[in-house]
Amino acid sequence: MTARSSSGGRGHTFAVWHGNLTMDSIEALRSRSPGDDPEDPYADVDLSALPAWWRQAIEEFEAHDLRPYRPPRFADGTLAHEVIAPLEAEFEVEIDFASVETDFREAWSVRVDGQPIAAVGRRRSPEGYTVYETDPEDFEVQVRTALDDG
Amino acid sequence: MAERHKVAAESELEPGDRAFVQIDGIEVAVFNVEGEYHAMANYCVHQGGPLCEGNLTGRYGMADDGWSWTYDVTEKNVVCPWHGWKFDVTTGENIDDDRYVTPTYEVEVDDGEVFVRR
Repeated sequence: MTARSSSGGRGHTFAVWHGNLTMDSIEALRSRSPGDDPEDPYADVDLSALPAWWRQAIEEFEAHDLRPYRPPRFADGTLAHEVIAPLEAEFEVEIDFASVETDFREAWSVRVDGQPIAAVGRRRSPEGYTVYETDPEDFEVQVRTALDDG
Repeated sequence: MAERHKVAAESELEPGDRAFVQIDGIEVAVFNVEGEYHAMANYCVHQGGPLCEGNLTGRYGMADDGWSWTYDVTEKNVVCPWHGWKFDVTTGENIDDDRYVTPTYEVEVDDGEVFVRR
């Protein structure tokens, strides 16, 4: 089976066939102690070279004995900020993800300066990071289209 | 200095509702508990599950007589959907073991909009 991602709130195909594997992986975490993680994702990383927001998140997680912080990424593994930060700089806008009660288990909104422009499937991976179930290329097109139309 | 981030309109957050926003790489949930807003990180201290997406419940306790049960009907305890760990959304504390506390944040309401400081 080939991994397939989707966008615009149509991430359910990915989520459904991925579901059993993900649930098994999550269940396997049950016996772990709080904050325990066999991997140190920063073992070979120069923390001073990371963006300030990333370092702050690492420190916040450490202060609460959470598993090591891992930033959100798109379906293909691309770190979300690597796509979003250049768009924010180019258009001088703030891009974020948000959801309200009615649909938080389904799609979240992609927002530009607080205004929703698209929907995106989202899930928490067993590794503890958020996955936006769209490709970075599709995401960038959606944002550019919304800003060009705006 | 924590910056202010818009979460949702007040009209979208009735008592019992919640809203989420990703702020600088961290997901934060805002709960409306009986008209008061409380913000907490959407990460379970146990294994990083999406804590704030779980069900909200009240809480059983022991009565003063040490014999009978009580039940606080205020639905302010969120149950992590991964492994059932429960946290009080008003304090961030695990209700079974106060050694475990997930990050909490200040909430502000301004002109009908709900903001989180982080």
